[in-house]
Amino acid sequence: MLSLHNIHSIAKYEIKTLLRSWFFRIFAIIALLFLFLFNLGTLIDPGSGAGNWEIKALPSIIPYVNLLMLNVVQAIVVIFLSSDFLKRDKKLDTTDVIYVRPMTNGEYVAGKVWGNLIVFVILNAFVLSESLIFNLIAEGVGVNLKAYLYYFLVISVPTLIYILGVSVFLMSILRNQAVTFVVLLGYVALSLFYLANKFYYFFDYMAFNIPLTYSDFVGFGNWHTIWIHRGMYVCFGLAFILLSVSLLKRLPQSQMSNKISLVPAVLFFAGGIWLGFEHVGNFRQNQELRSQMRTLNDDKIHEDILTVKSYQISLEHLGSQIACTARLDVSNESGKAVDKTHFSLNPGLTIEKVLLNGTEIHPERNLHLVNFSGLNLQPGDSASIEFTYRGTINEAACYLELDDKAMQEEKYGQMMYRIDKRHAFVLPEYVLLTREDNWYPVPFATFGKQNKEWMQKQFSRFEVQVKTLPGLTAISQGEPEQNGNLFKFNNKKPLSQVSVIIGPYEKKSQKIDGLDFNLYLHPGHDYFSKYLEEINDTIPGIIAESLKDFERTVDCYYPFARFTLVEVPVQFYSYERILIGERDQIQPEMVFFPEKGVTVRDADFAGSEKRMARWGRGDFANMTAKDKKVTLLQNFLSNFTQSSGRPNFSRSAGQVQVTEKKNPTFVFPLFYNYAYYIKSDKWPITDRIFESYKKEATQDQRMGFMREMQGTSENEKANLALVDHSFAELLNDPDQTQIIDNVIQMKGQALFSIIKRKAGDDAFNEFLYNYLRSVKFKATSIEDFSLRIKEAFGVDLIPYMESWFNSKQLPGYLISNPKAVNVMDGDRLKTMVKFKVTNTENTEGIIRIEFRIGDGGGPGRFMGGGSNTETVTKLIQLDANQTKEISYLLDGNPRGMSVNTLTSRNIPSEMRLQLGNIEEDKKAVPFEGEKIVDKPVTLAEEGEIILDNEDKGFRIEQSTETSLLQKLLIKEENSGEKYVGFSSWRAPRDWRATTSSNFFGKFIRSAYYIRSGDGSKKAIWNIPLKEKGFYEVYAFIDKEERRGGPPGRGGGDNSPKGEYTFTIYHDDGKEDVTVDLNTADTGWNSLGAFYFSPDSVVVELSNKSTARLVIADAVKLVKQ
Amino acid sequence: MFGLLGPNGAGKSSLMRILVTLMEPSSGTIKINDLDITKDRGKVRALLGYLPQDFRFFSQLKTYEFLDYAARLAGMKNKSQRNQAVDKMLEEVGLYEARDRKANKLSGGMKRRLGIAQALINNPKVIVVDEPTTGLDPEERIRFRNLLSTISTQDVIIILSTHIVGDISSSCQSMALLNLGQLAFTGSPDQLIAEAEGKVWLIKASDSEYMEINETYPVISNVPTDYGWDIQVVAESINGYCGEHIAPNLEHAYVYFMESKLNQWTTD
Repeated sequence: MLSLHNIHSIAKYEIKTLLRSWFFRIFAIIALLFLFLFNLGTLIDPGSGAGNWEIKALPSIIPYVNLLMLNVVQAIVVIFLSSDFLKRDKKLDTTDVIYVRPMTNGEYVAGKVWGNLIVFVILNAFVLSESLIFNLIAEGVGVNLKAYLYYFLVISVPTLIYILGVSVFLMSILRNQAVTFVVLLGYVALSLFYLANKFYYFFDYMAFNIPLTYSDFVGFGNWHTIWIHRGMYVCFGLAFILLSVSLLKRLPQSQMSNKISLVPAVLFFAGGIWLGFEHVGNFRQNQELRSQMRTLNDDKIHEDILTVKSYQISLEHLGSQIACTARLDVSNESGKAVDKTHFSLNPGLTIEKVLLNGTEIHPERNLHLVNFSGLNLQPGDSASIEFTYRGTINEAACYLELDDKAMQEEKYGQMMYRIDKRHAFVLPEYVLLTREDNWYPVPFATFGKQNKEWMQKQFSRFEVQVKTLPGLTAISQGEPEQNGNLFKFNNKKPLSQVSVIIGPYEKKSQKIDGLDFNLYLHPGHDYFSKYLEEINDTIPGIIAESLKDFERTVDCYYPFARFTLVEVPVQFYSYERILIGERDQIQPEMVFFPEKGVTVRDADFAGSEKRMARWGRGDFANMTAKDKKVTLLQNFLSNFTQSSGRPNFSRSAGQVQVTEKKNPTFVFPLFYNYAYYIKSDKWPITDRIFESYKKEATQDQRMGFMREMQGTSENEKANLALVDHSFAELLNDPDQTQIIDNVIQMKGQALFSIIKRKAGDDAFNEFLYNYLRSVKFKATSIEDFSLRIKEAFGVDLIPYMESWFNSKQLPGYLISNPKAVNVMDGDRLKTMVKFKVTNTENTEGIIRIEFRIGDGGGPGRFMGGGSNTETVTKLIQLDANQTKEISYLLDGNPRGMSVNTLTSRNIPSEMRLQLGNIEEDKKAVPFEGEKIVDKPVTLAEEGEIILDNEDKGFRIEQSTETSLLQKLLIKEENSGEKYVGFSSWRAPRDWRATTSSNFFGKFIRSAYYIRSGDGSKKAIWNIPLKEKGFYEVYAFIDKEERRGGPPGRGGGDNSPKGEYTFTIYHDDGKEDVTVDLNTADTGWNSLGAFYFSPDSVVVELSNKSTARLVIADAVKLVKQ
Repeated sequence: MFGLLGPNGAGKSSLMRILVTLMEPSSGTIKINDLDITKDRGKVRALLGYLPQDFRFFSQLKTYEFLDYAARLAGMKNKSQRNQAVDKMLEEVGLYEARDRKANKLSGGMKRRLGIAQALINNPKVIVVDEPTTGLDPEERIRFRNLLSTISTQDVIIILSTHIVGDISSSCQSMALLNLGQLAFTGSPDQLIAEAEGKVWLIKASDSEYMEINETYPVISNVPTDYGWDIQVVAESINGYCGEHIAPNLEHAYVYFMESKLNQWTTD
């Protein structure tokens, strides 16, 4: 029997000793001070008073992040202190007087460990009290006391027990504090930085990665996973502690006593291993299920599917289960007799009964599939099928098209905290079900590698009836009707899908512009009404205006009678669905908004006002209080109308990385995806092509600066991929998901350009608008669309689509410098822009020319409008190996010309060309149109030899001398991309290729650039020469240096300073030629004339310069 | 009080450590109150108090805390009894005034007294004290010896290990001599002294004889005098040197014993 008295005695004095040790005291003070500053900054924010919404919005986040930070450091300090206690004990005879006392080794180790634990519990209590105080005094922040306890139990306790166990155990084995410390520190670093969330968070003993965000709706929502994971570490910790008992260098009380501790040690180890298996097993099991489902789906590829005309679904919420009856009226519209077919229903739901036309049948159930046979439905036949089922949702069955690993590793969270990713909830207090969960039977298989049925849509009439537990509100699509806890939803229009949400909601609704606007909130989450009270009268107007703006942008009316914003648990997560363009956060007539908008900074109205008052521009400060609120509401609403979220800027080893985040609450799917469907069995991506075309207008053009930072835009990467692969291949390549969105968009542009070239831009857009209106809420087909196009414009799309889908060829264009003059056209002065363009490749193509006309200011997030710029767009079609001379007459002064080569070999794909000073040319004859000419655009004139950096003969010389320290500290970004972004303030330390319209090049306008240095790094042009003689040498120089700066930070003196030094090796030796950038021309600059023998021309450019960077592009020789 | 005497490396400390269950004997048995120290460690430990040779304290604990810690582990569960015992013990060893001082800030003698206090707490039956007076100044050493003598009047066995003969002669009723891990003598100090009766000489030697004597006999002391040297030696006879018997003390007896019985004494 263990003597509690002994354990308590040892613990008591261990605590005294530790609490009095300076090491611990200093650590505790630093931890408290650091967290004090952190809480001050994020909750009180003395600068602006705004604080951090991602911390403030959900009260549970406060203890969560505080403990996360403490936990990392305390894990290290525990190692030190606990390995120290053995060292302390080794001090000669001091411990002997304790060791001779009548206590067991188990009591001794238990006392020591308990003492250590208590000390850290005290520290945790201090830290939590500190954050609680901040929590209480911070403005507009709720307090979740339960969360304080939960996070302590879930984060700190298992970590402490585990790391204590490991350190004591290792110390007992290694018997050397320094070695133990180094080993354990390495382990901490490994688990924090490398293992992190790998292997299903298995190694995340600090709980730094496992998602632990606690929702006001559903709490953790993943208790099971958390208990298993944290329990595993508690077991391992206890096992290590117990093992240390038998390893203690003290003679045991009795022969048996040491061995006895091995029994629980082994039991705890077994427990830990079992929990570990359970933890990993759950994930594995899910993977296995997903893979089986995919295979099953592929088996269904040759089976016909039925069309569901209507659904009558009644759902009863039974706590942790749902019980449903779904009556489907189906018909056979496949055009042939259907004997076998299949439906999908979530594998977590068990079918109890199936009635076919009122007669019970027993279709085979295989995971999610319900397989019907012997149906004998002739074309046009109808039938009714009634499914009765109950159970819960297995979320592993969702998003089968996504790679399991990528799915698991996709991070969801804010700052340092992680949020669990859930796709469905069936809990006593909350239910959330979407079509992706397959909570009702659908007549398709889900994703399979071959099976594209999952991309299909049908529009059916839905009648949904929900019986909730008392006190809960049900939400679904349609006109709601409530009778006690029975909710009915009637839909007048067919829908592609329905969702059901049940929770403790408070509803606000208002009719705006004929639309029912509903807002469902968790009780106590209405933090904004009071703030917006002042502008209450204007809110409907602002919302209506915002909606209209968006309707104009996408050229579609909002198709539903209601718009419902539902606050959902923060854990609800939807993955981007690149191949269908939908996002589950958007449901027909509904948007799921994350709890309190914790992930949306603009949801923090009061904070945003303070932030903008403190950091914003002057114009905000000058606004009236009402106007400020209006602006902030508009900013918030823009979170629904912008396709991209805030870009993520990060600096990784010298290069600025910008990652574009798709905005999950972007409402576009409400305008297209849930109202239209253009089906094609042959090209299932067709609907997405239309969707992408409509969506293009919503894209933020201002994201162009990202290209400068990243080096190659996603569009260009898409083009690079299309050089080697067909569209069809890319769609099936899981490695290309990053660019597939761009590929789809570009292929769409190319497809529609064929019609537009014939019909004209406006006529086509009007046609599309009318066509879509005529097919709203029903599925149509590409054949139908093609027919109507043929009727309207005489273009037959279908024959073209085959090569559009499968061809691997891409056009490539050479474009001459445009010349612009002002000419009199009748009695009006117009600007005539002339240039030549050649498609040098063996496939036809289309380019788009855009002129920006007028004198408008730039776009800005808070400015909106104010610009008089007008864009004139022209399309040019070029057959294979064709050259055209183009001339346009423009009303007004063009400020610039951009050439978008769409799908082509050209990089940059969008070139901005300078028109220079436009003067009047009295002799010029006004002309608008294109002429096919024989002489193609060439890069080099007669007698010129050009060597570009893309050519053979150009090479760069990197110095190999890099100190070890440099290597370790300043890791050069090597992302594997051929072209890097251009950053003038942080140019790379080695030559790197980058692209720009201003550089010289055939298809790829690229150059190498480098930070100025000591001249040891050189770019070398080795120019092959056949004929000896005098040649004038030119270098292509781009003077513009300010590209790649952060947005909105222009200004200042941008005229380039410094010089480039070229070394020319000629027959009479070598000569250094210096080009002063201030006086140089953009383009070719002469370096002088020299005599060269054949094959001997070498021109070098070193990185020695007083300019910030050096660019090496092209060199030209012109025979004298 | 039982004294254990022996030269450095004789195995005194090892024996002590075996006695207090810190080390396992490679062979043989030791029984305390009929309890086998290898089989009944738990019970044996409850009877023991131990003051090790090089004893320091956990740096962060105060004097009374350390004693309280020891008292708790010695099995005193009752708080008020324990507090009384601790205070009483602190008074007995003269540390009551220093009760709130950090234990490692005490002087060498005070530390040793605190050491004996922690060994004595909760009335152990056997106290093992290993080299307790090493490094103490004479005053502290005497004080400590007296303390041990006082304690020995109580119902307790004190086993004192030392290589300082004075410690034993002044306090032990019985003793043992340990050499190279073997027990060479057991008995009272008087018995050991008696063995050396007539074997200790005081030689009055000239300068020229000085070297010779020092090379021939185990010398206990050399005292220079007006006429040369007074040299104390241990020997059966002194072969013509001018000298006389003197009454042996324990130190003489120890040297004699080591020399004659064990041939362990080396002359430098």
